[in-house]
Amino acid sequence: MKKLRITAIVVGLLIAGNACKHDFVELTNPNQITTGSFWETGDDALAGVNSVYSALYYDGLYLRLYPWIMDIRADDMRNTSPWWTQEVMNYQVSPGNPCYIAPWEHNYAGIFWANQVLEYVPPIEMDEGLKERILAETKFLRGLYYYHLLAVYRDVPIITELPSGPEEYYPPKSHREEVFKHVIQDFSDAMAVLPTKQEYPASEMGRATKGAAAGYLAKTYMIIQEWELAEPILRGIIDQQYGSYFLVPNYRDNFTTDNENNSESLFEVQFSRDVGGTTLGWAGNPSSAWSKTSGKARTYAPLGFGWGDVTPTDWIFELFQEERTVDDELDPRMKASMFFDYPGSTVYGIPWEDLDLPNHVHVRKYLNDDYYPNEDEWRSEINERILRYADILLLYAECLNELGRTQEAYPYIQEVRDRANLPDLATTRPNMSQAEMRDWITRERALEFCFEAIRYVDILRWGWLEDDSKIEMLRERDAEFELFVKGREFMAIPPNEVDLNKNLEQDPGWN
Amino acid sequence: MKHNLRLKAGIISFLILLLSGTGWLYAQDHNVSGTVTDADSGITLPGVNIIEVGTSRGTITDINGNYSLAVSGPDAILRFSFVGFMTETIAIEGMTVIDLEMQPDIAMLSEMVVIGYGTQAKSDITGSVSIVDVENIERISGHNVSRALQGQTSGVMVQGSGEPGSVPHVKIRGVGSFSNTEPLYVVDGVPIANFIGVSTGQYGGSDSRTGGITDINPSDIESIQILKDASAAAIYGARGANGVVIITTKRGREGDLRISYDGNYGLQHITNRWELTNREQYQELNNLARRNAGLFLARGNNPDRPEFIDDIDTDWQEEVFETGHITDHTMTLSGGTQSSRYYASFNFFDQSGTMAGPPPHFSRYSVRLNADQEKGRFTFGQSVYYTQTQHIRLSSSQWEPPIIGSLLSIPTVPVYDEKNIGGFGGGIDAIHDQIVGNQVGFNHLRNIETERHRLLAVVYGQVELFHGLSYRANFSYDRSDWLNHEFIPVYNIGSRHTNSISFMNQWRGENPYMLMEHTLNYTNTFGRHNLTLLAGYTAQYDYFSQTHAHSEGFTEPYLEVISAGPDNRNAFGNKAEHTLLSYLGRASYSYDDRYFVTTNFRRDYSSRFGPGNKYGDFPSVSAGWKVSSEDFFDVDLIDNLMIRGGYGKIGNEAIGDYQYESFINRYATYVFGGRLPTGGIQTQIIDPSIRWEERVTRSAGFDLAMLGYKLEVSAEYYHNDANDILFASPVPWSTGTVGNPTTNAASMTNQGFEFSATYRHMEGDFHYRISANATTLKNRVNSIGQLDDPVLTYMSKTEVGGEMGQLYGWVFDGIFQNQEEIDNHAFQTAGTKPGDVRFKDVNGDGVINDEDRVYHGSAWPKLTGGFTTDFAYRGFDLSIFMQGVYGNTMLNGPYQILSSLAHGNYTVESYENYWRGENTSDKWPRPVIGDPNNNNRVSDRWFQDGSFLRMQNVQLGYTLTPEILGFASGFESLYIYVSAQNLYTFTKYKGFDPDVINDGLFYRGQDYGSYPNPQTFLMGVKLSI
Repeated sequence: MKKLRITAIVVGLLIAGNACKHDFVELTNPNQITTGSFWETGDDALAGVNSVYSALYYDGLYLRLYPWIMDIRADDMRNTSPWWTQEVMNYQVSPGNPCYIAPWEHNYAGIFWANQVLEYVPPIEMDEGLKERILAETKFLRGLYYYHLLAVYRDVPIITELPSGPEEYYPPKSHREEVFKHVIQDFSDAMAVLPTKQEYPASEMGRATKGAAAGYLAKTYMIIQEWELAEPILRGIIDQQYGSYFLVPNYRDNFTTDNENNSESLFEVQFSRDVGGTTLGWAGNPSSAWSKTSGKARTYAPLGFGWGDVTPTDWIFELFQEERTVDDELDPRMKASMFFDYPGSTVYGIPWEDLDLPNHVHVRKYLNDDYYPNEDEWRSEINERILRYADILLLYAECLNELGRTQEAYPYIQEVRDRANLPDLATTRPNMSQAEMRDWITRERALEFCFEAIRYVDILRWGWLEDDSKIEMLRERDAEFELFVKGREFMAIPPNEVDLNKNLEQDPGWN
Repeated sequence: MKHNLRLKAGIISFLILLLSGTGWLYAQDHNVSGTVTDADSGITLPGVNIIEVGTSRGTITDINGNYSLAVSGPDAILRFSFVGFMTETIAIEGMTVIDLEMQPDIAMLSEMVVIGYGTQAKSDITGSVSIVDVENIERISGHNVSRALQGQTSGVMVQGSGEPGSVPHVKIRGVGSFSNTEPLYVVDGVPIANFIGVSTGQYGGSDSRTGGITDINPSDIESIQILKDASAAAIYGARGANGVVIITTKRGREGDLRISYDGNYGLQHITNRWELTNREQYQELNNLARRNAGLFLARGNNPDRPEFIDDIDTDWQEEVFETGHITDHTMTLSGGTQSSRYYASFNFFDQSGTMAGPPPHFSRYSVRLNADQEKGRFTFGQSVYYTQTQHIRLSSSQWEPPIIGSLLSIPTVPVYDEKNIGGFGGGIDAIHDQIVGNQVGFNHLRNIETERHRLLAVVYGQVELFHGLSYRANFSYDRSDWLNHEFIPVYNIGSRHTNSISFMNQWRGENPYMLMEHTLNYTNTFGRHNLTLLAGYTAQYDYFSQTHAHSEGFTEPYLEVISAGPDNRNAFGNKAEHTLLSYLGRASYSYDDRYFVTTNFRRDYSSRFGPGNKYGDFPSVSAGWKVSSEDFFDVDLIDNLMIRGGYGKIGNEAIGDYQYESFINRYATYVFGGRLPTGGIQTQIIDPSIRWEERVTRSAGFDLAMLGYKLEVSAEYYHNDANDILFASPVPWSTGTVGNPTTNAASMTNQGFEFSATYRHMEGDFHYRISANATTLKNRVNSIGQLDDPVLTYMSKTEVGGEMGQLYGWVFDGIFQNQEEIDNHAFQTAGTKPGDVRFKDVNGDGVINDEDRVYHGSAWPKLTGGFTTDFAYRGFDLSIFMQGVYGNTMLNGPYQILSSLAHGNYTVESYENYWRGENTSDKWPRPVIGDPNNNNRVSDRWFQDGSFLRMQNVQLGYTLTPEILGFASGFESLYIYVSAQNLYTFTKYKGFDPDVINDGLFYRGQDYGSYPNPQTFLMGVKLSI
């Protein structure tokens, strides 16, 4: 039809000369709708918030890079990649390094999208309840993107509104304390409005819940060491005030496609191979060809099954073996988290002894060895459980300890240990002091959350990288800390960004 | 072209006298005979066409210039025509003997030159126009006329690789755009479709450009003119900014059927080799690099391990490169009467590249039919061209281009390994420490090819309304259809190059251009006043549409169709449309062959411009003063002297479709409950006010002919200001935009001198011609983006006041011999150890960081040029063409990577010189995997002089005349030749080839494994009957 119309215009022009020249050069994009015709209906509002979630799929978030750069910098994992992460582990930055750029770029993409929803949805005439939920989901996500930014960078600009013109493209950075205030505001606002996980229909599984907002709010308070503010929220989660959560019996169910969105999950990034797409959506304008899958498994899988870009440190490998279960077996979390040589050990179904792997231990968490012969397909659909109830329990224990209620912390730690069939801590290590308990919790967290991009956030919030003795300890655990430069515990703001935005100063540690 | 005419006169053009033969069928009552000679030299002219006007009777002169023709009666009128001479019409007035001295059409000065929507006498041109010597172009083998333009004329820069099917970059008078720098190509009067960017799949490499002018068969080309700035190109308005290349294809001439065949065959080689380490050297260096990084030795390199490799020593360059073949065959049929003429050609071109494997391979079939008809005041014409090309693409690994991958391949990996699926050898990380893949394996296992079809049809009709005023209508339909096919089977080539799920991608697309042009032309002479007026109106519609299908899970035996892949079948598609509507006009006026003025004007309305910017006006004016026509001018030596200058404005509207509107991206969406609902968000910030890029050009120069037109010299100064350059003006990522908004926010200036000279010697048996051209270019960036922030790449910096893509990096300052030297120097990294490179602390702040980078030279040659000499002696002719650039610097990417002393192979140079302990080297660092000191960062270690002078073509030919062949052969002429191309290159550049392809802009100085241009030895034959 289009062609006919154009042909008609061409013929018309022949006859009528220039009468319709403006019509002739007025074309409508057949691929996309314009911004001006959007944000009119409830469907538009819902589509908008759906998009805000999708920034989680970018490389700078959970496609691959965010977990990767967080994991390799922690003491439980080494970088074995010849790629740009090498420079991260040299504590250097060059302008094109995507490890520095992508988390910045993609979290801010999510923030830009969230700000659109928060600006354009309120005036829409639609179901008020749905509108409130959409706005609350958006606030949760905006908080989450800022939370990630603060995990990677020290101080970042706060942007909560759409720019009215190019002069507003150049914001200065705010001290992280200021940014945390905004994060707390967003999580609090979201928590007040969002439905609980159980209140959502199954078809909406994956949306932000009251529990997720509460969990992240508490985590944020823990990072800024506001123990008294964190305590009631953590308590509330454990008391099922924000929805119902409990540990799954099988630890490994947290890292496979089976039993996704399980009772332990407060929030997870939803990946699926069933919704189509052929290429990974690393960066750029989302396309219909982008699959909603993760590239991380191929990065983490041992060479021969994936890129072998990471390897557990000997420290974490040995830490797992320090304490055996009540049945005098290895901590079951060890086999769930790592490939290594034990009787009956297999890697992607191949017996360990038939293999020629470069190292004696490899990461297993979040890999598809239960389903596929290798990760060559580069398309993992394992949901990334980014907030687990186990984290809430251990954070609560830590919070109680920091509040001086050390003895009250034991049962919450033990709840996590019980799943691993470890002996009662109150028996094996009774009456720990606050300092002993503090150290013990760092150990429990390492075992429970290794290779989950949580460890480095812990190391940061515990202030280890500002403490010479702790740095020394880290160097013993992981030789990569030999090259650590004090002041570079956060990643550099992308140098191009600093060049471009005169109002933005580089992290002083990187000057 | 003239240089060769007499040569041709002596050697070609013996049509069998069919016409006079058939003439006997008629009642003959009058015969005319005579001899035709060259008025200048008195030499007889064979092959002159003689026609009795208004009849089909005609003949041509024999080898001695004699003719005899039966005509209809004593009042017959004869027309004598011959290429390179003025056509003469003579009434016989009862005579029976007419001897004619034909006047040479000297140096083509009165040749009519196509200048866009019309022609102009070459001697009257005041704008900046280059006329390309098509014979020189014909001597360059290849399928692509734009590649052959390299070095042929001043003001035109061509960069290209040697990969069959690849598309070179052509830049006229520098670069004034970041998005589209290619000239507009006009073929047979109509602008043709520009290059198409096709999807090349996961492994098909980055250069996806195809189509455009490269589809046109070079042997069909009759003439090429290049409009270099607004003074000439403003008639093409918003598409003229990068210059216009006007190509006219051959058409039938009045006369008998003429059949010619032109064929050649050649061998191609990559002659240079990198000196790379052999097995033992490689193993020693790799072991050291791993030891220095605190890593275990790769087992294959560890003599203490059972896996140690001592029986494989692959020379990958020998395995990857092989002899390529190139062949080109054209057959043409042409002829006709005064009222109906035809030219038909068929061409087959095939080039298999110089690399092992099915790819790279390019082949093309084409057919052309050009026809012209005249009846009374009406003239009609058709040019119909159809071509089919097949391009089997080189496949690359996911990380580096094929050349880099091939060079980095290590000696301990075998080319073939039956144990691997697919049968090719590959490195195992723990054994070989190899990251790159096996290029021979990639080439054989993966199938990536592009098949394209192009139809370019132009029809025109013209009518003379009354004396001097004519109306012409052009219609063209230019359509490309393509299929890109990528099939990746299951294979295993080592640790990092395995594919366990076979998959296939297919893209099918179409790109039709429909164009209609109406022009009125008025020419008249009033006494000494000459006036030509042109007014026109054009409308164009084109679109690009592509459908992509994907499927997976193919099993052997592989069937390479989408349906055979059972898994993950997906389909995608998109479309972009474009319209352009224009008014154009030109007025040319001259007085007394002394004063000349031409003005051009075009107004373009484009769908690509937003409201408020729907149209642009592009005017120009040029003027000339033919000093030699003045009465007071009395210099015998000088035949012609024209001083001329021009000023004008042109534009570039190739800015992408729909860029002025912001859109909702519906594909930004997320999985909920296992389903994928719709999304909708604006992902990109846009600038609604974007419009065409503008080029304001100024030029002044002169054309001089001396010594009886033996010496011709032209020189010109040009100064082009490119304004409102579209630039994806980087905005901070904190805005959240996933792409930078494109805005008209940069400007730059290109200026320089162009010079060309030709000297011809045509007397006696020994003829020669020498011609040379040279161009200087100074590029200066005047503004970039809203904030004038420099554009930094990893190896270049572009800032206001500087040049585009100026090379930029750290400064090598020796090698740290011991810890003390490290401690006494500025801090580099925490991993710096003795043996690492010391970089200069340029700003003296005690830290080596980005601030310590400096400029390392220009990516733009100070001078580009070409030099041609032709000699002819009796039947022999020899032609030598040299071409080169001077004064540019390049980042030698292969050298950088091969010297990196990390994963992959190394140069022997780095092996022999690496740091082995205190005071063992002050040039080469220690080998260390991971490079903690970043020794390999971009620094002057890798910048090299990119100047070169290349013997591009040497051709020796011999013409066999009918006398030698004997008339029984039936040949009118037979020409045989041998040629050598890219015979030798004078350069200091270390690497395969200093003539590289890259983006030509911010990375202009980068050689990142460009496919080297091969050396070619060719033999061929041209014959006609």
